[in-house]
Amino acid sequence: MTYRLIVNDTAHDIDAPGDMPLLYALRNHLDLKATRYGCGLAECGACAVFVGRDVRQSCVLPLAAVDGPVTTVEGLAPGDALSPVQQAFIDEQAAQCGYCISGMMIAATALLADTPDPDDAAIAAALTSNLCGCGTHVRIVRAIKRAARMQRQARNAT
Amino acid sequence: MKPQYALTPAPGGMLELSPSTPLNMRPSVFRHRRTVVRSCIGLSLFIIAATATGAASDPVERGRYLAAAGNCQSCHTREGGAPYAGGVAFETPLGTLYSTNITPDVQTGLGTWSDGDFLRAMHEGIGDDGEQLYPAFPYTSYTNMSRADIAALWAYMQTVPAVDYTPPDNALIFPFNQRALIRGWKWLNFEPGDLDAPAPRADRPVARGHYLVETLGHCGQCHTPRSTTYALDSDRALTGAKLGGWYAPNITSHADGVGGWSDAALDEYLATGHVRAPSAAAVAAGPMAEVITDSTRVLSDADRAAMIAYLRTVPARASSAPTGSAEAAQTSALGDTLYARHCVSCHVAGAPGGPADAFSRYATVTGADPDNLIRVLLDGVARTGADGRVFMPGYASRLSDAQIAALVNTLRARVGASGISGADVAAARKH
Amino acid sequence: MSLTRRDVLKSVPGLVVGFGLSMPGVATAARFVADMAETTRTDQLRAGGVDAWLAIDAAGRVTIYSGKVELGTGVATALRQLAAGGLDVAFADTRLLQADTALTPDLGYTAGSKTLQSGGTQLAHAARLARAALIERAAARLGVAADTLTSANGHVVGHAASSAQRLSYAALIADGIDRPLAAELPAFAPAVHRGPVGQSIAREDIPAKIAGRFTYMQDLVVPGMWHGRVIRPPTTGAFSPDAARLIAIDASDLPEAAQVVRVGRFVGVVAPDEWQAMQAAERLRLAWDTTMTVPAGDALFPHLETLPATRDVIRDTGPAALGSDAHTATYHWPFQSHDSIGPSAAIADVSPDGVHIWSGTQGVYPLRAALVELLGRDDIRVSYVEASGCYGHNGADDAAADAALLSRAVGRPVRVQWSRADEHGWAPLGCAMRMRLGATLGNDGAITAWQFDNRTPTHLNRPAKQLGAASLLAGQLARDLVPDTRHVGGDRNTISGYDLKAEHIVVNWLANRDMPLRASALRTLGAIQNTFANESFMDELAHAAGRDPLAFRLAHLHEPRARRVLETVAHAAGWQAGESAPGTWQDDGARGRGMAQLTYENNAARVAAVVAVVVGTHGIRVTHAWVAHDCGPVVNPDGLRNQIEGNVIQAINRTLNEAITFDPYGITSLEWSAYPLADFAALPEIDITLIDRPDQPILGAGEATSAAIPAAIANAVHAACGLRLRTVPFKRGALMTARREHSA
Repeated sequence: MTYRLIVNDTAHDIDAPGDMPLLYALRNHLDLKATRYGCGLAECGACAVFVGRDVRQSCVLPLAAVDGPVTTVEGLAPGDALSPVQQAFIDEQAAQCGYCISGMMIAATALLADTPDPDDAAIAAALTSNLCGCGTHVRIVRAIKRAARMQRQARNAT
Repeated sequence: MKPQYALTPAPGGMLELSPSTPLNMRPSVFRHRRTVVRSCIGLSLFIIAATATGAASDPVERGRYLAAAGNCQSCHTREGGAPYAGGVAFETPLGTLYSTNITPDVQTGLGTWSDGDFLRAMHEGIGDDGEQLYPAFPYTSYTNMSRADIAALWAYMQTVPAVDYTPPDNALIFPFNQRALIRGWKWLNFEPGDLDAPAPRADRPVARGHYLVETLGHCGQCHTPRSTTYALDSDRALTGAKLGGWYAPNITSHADGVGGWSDAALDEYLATGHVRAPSAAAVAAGPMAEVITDSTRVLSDADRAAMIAYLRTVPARASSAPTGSAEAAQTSALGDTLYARHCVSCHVAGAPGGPADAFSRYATVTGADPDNLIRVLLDGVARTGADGRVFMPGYASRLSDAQIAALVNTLRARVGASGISGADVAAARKH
Repeated sequence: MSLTRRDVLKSVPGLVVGFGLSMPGVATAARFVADMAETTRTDQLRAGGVDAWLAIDAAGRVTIYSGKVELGTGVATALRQLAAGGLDVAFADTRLLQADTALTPDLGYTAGSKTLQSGGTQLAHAARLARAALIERAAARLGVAADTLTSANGHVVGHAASSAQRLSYAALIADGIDRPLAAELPAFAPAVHRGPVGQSIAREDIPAKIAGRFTYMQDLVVPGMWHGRVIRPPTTGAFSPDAARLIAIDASDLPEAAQVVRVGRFVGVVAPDEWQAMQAAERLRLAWDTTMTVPAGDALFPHLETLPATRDVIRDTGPAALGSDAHTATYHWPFQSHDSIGPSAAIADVSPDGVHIWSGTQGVYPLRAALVELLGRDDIRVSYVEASGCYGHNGADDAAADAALLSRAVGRPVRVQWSRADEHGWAPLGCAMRMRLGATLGNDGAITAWQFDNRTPTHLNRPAKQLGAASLLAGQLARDLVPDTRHVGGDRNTISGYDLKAEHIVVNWLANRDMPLRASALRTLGAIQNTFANESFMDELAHAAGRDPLAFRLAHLHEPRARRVLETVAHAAGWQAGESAPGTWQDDGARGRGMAQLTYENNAARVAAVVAVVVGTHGIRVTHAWVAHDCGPVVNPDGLRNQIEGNVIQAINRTLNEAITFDPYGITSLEWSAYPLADFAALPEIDITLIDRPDQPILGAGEATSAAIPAAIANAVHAACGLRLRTVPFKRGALMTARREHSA
């Protein structure tokens, strides 16, 4: 079966079973490796992507059930540019091994789209579906707050 | 289509291909006592499936089937413990009871019991020293088992690996810690069955179903409300009851119960633990998931059909237990976020109306009583059905009381059901 | 496309320094060479334990050839900082070539926070030697005395500010005369802070990871590779070969393209597409005959007591038996998991021409040695590729062996990706241990005798040449092996570090063949368990003696640097004498603080922690952690803070939440809701004080902090509500049980 996916603004035709999770289409068919396998049970968020404006766990989302354009970390900013969330994660050195960070940035981007000035509770709620094993939590929260500031400043400047 | 093989012979061992084995035998991700099923799956269930008619001539195999039909394992295997070694805590209003070790271990199990001791325990609720047994052990149901079936069950229990384990002492409040009191309770509530009546056969489906549901399966122990003396209230049989934080729903043919379910849906549920819309929509979790995993999924087709045939003859009555606040559930931004993050990716598949429709038909979500939804979110689902494993993560360690309450309310607000508070979740965590 | 050392060390002139990166004290040797490709063959540069090279080419670029690997701890950046600082070149002009058995020397393992301690010290030393060699050559060329010259950012320049003397390193190297240097530096010279050393240089790997361009082991693609999955026995994680016997395989339901591989009890499937391989693994039906070889989940610690043990007396200056007036306590630690978010993955290409393995292993050479025995051939190359976070001996080596067996069977490259259940169920575990302590107090409240006795398996079941296939899961399954491993790690930090006149310290080693589950190295090895016991017990003794725990510790602790970190953390936290007198239970939350300290491995980093908790019917929450940390010179302060923060968060979760669960057939905690990780709700505040000692040797940093946290939490819980918790983890259920027993 062939499925048409819009991924990072580009259309692709994927020939694969409809019950195959989106994760494997992204990684193996489209070579987009920033979306990662962590548990296959929608528990850890390493595979999080946007489908439309919503965050989905691509390790369990069947290809046939993808109902909107997909955005991965590779598509958070055009070309070699970085999104404010990405820049903030670098500025705060908010990674140790970094394997979970793609999912963290997707969750953070979704949060800041709806909540420009999130408090600690809002950040924690937005990250309940993401796990980090290295203990980078404090820096991740700091990076999200920095990204929020950067976005607000950019908005005020325009 | 035969697969190609790239086989490296094992040192000293030949590869042997078997006929199709009907059970999935891979390690599971289950975390509750279901891992026991995963672990003992080796030979035993292999054989159960092969002899799933329940009419095997070998008494041990017949006993194995009866142990499954009677679901001995669920109550006699504690989390992390060996099968049948006991130690499961039963919290009752009268205190805590622990199931016993029924492996053949001489020191701690039934190793010194005679077949007569076993028969008396099953039939009369009396232990090998003549002590009265607490009716948490459902001899009030098993008393109607036939002598031949009890003998077969005993033959099977001799083959279970002996395990040296002493369960904790019961911790009942006075005066219920006095076993002599049970005699009085029995006088009021217990009627021994006819040991020499043969077990009904498949050619009498309703009678066979009665035997499976009321005697072996002891379904009423969970689904029937209890009287003030903690006996089953036969006037309200199978109309639903609360137990251990779960609500065992009405399974009579009333509209509150399974009246709207087709026979095929009931059969699918007992075999697999789930039924998809539109006939009905339900998933087994908690204790019922154990019943599916340990018991009903391995019953023969004829026996499941007999159970359904019998259930259809039970008087349809309205539900007994459902409760819940009168306040309609309110959706919230927090609930919406948690719903989007945690629920949709898995539950979107197969939902005819998309994500919004994913839960609208499930009694666990829509029912008057929200307890099971809270429990499922705390504990998750871990079950093996005839069609394989089903798993949903539990969120007890991940989400706070307020977050789970928000999620429950967002789910229930969609279908106009009543709402809950964080305090309800905190109370549920204590179970 | 395969790269050899000769390709990397190109045929250009250079200055090469050989040194002993994993062997401190090895004489460092340097020479200018006409052809860098030949350098590592010369006797002088290979002699006597030289196992690493620092090479400066004619363009002035510095390359470190190291067997050390980046494990997500920022160590690659720190090594480059040390090379740049020692040589006085820009950080940007350095690079690190990571572990590959064809390219880099055999450095054993990257483990135990020792990379900077043993490797970094040697590297800094080699860099300073190279700098001295360049100054010497410049002096000869300029006809001046060497001591009139110094270095400045890739140049040799005159000391005097007015000096016009200026020669670039590149120019000095360009004529490439192969000439050994006489220059010898003392075996140890302090790492003077120079250039980037001591600065918070941003980590080199983070931008690519953030941009989504980084290739982890899990992401690597080798042309022509297929995908493999291994289907293991239902007795998950059981060590005994008797746990499960394979009776039958039914492959009738497999996709057409899938192939089945069986070697003994090792069974795998291989398919061209990953999803196909996953489907095939689901559909392959195996019948096993299983046996109970593991104790029941609630019977582990009694079971450990019944096992035979090899007794090791670590210290014997005190009585083996204490009187009836002795204070005693017994502490328990459970089996724990590695918490990597990405399950292990590896690729193997086993072909007639040779074997190439790609793995996130901590040691390419030991893995190679074990694979040589497993595969029965020695034309094996192992390349390191950074994988998801690594805190010890996880499944990386085992996945490589899985891939090797599958690739050998199907004759093409095979990638094996472990599932979450594979990693939770089959990767080696952190060790369960029992620690029993006893002590007597004198009339003045001082400790007069101290007794320590633990039971532990070895903390090191890593791949090793002498163990061969037995050290790899695939080998264990294929050939029914259990490795007979030497005793390592369970004795770490058994010695408390206090000045105790009479000590009796015993380690009882349990044999692998008796262990129900396979344990190996996890952060700090035995230091976290032993320090949990020692530092909890110090707190108990302080209360028994009626002393404040800070004063009581200081009264028994004389080593100046250990005292300094303890005093520093107490000051930072505003510790008040008497504040930790046990409080009383409050349902809605009682507050308290506790402390702990250690000198990691009794000779490395000094760490002290104060932890604040709130304890109630909701369980235990850590609200604040203060850490003081002395690991000698601080190479990269932000990198060090990042590591300490991570260790605090990890250790809090290990203490409060983590325990492998199992039943008599094997492990049952196979995903994250059964084995919860730290979440973002209620994160503690973390205050870190780094004590920088540029005049001291570099010590390992990072994981030492883990070992201080558990006892600090236990002591804080006691201060908050009077309950003494001695068995990790301190889950809500355990807390409520302790409360019931306390009030009964």
